[in-house]
Amino acid sequence: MSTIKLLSSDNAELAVDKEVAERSILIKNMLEDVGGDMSDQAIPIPNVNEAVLRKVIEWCEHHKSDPPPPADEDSDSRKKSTDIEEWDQKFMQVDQEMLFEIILAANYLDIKPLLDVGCKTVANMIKGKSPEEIRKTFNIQNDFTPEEEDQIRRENEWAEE
Amino acid sequence: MAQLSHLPNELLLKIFENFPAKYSKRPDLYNLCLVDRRLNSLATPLLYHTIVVEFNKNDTFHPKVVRSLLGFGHSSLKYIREVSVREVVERLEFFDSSLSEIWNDTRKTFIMGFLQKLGNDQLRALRLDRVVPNVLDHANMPKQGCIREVDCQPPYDSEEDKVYPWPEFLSFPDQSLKSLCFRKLEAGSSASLVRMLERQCESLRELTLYCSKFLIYEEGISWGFWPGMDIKRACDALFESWPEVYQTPENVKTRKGLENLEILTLIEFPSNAYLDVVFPGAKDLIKVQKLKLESITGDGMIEILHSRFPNLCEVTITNDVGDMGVLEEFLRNCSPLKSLVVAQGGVGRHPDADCIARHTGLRKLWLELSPGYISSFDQYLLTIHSAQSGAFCVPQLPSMRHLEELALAFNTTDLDFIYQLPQLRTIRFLNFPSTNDADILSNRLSFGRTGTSTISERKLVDGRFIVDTLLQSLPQDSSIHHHLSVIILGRHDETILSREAEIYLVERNISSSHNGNVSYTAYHSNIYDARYHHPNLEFIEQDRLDSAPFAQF
Repeated sequence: MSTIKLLSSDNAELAVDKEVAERSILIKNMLEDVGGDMSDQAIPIPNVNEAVLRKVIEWCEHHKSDPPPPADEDSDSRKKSTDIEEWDQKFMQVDQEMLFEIILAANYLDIKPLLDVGCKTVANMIKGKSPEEIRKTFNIQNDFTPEEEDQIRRENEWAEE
Repeated sequence: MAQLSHLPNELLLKIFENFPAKYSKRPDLYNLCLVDRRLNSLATPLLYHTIVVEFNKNDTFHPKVVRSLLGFGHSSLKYIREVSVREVVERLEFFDSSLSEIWNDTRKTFIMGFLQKLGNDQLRALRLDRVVPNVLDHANMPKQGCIREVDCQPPYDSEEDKVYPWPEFLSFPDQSLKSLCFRKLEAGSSASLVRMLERQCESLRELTLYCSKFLIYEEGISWGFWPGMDIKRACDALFESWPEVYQTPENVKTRKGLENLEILTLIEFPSNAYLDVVFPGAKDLIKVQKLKLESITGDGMIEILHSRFPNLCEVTITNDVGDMGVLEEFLRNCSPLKSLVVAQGGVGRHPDADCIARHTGLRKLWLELSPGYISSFDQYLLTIHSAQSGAFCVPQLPSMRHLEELALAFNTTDLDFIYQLPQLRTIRFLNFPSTNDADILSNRLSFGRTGTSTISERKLVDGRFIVDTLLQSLPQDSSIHHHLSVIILGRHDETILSREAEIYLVERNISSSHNGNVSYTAYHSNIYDARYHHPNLEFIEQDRLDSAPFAQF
């Protein structure tokens, strides 16, 4: 099996199985463009640092033999839950900074299933929380005036639990 | 340091999309709107995208959503794209005519007041479930010309002949319609409507026709279609009497088939020749992938199954298969299927196992066949129980290596094939897999409507699968043929498994009582969705399943 090298934003070189790295559609397309032979040259991943890149590779490693996601999932995906399979749940037990870095990296590297898991993880952190709890959890400032807040509350009252 | 607020809008929206807005309550989106201005600007359009208005039968006041949306100066209504209005019923029941007054008075005032607040061409979908369509005052409605999905389902009416006028404010000027569900509506009241629908032939992807009494009036002639009539003669007569639609040479030339239709559902439908009435020249159904046939009488079934569907991959037949030979021939000749559901087929015998086994790509197989005609729920239970209807094809199962979902009536002793089906996630036993059949059966039949249930478990563990077997009975009207369900889930640890199993059962209960329509497949798969369906679900989350967990539903 051929190995390729990835160069993180902080200049760390990581060797990865080609098959694993190709979970990233970005890298897959890149390799196709250059004809597949990148054995002596590291592919720069300028937006992702070493720690995050290692984490992403760990995920790709574990999911390397997953079947490709079905193409017609569009209609179903909204019905799907915030259920996350167990290994992924454990994988996502990281601090918030790492979690958002993984989401950004998955988006940049175009790894849709990892992006989905990341987004679901954040959704689960939001689920069931009050606005104030959400602000606290994610370090967000309330920039509404009390009047605005009151109006939003009244207009959206119908959707409240 | 990366924070939530550092994510671009597209990623925040992707996160928020995990919060469903299918039901009228959507507390997480509500809370997100109150966090800060940025999240508000992203979450508000999602919150308002789909509005669900539910009328409870005995409500004397309007639901909260109604009062709030009619409030003065509501700026967020512009985000509304889909509207669902429905009456919530406990079970399948006929329309209570005493409700006419409420519909024509207070509910009409609301629905009209609300829909009139929308702009022209704002809506993409309109779904009316058990709503009397003539509460809509067509003349005073903003024109909705960008609509892609229409689902009009009047209440089940004891007056079977009653049909309702087409909601005229829904116009489809530019072949925009993607999905149409057409129940007991008067399609043929004017040739122009038929022409308008015909223009949608190209864009239409999904079509549901339910028309036990479908009437067409034209120039004093009225035609009714119903199961069992000589459909061909009736159609011929109609075509003759309505030449400007069906007979003129240039019309014949320009007739288009439903060439892009992917999903076709026919309920109580005499035959597909009848499609020609609504969509003249509709017979080219070359792209249909999903076909669902429900309560179709013998001849109609034969005619439909003899049609050519070269791209079919999902077939669902419920209530009557008619002649088993026709189904067998169909299965032998049709394209490779991914999903086959034959439920409540009173067919006299099992199909030849080989004609099922040739579909080696099946992901879902649901066979619920009974040896004869079924007239009652009790008889149904007895026949399905004794039928062992799936056992005949058990030897063939290992060749269907892609199976993910399986529902059969068969003995647990046959379960060895599970180990040969690596993708299998769900099994539904349609009979009892355990030992003392007589006891269980009598136990089951005594459930009635009281809402108790019995659960027996049986586990098989091979390190990869944990098999958890649960039985549950649905207390429902005896006219509704429910079957037993047992599920087996793979690739979960035991705690998750039993939690999901509970949820499954709970949701199944809810969904069948919620919608009024009995559906075999419309289950929800997670607790989060279910909570919107029924606020009492919290109770189930906290308490383990025990003797009578569903009594409160």
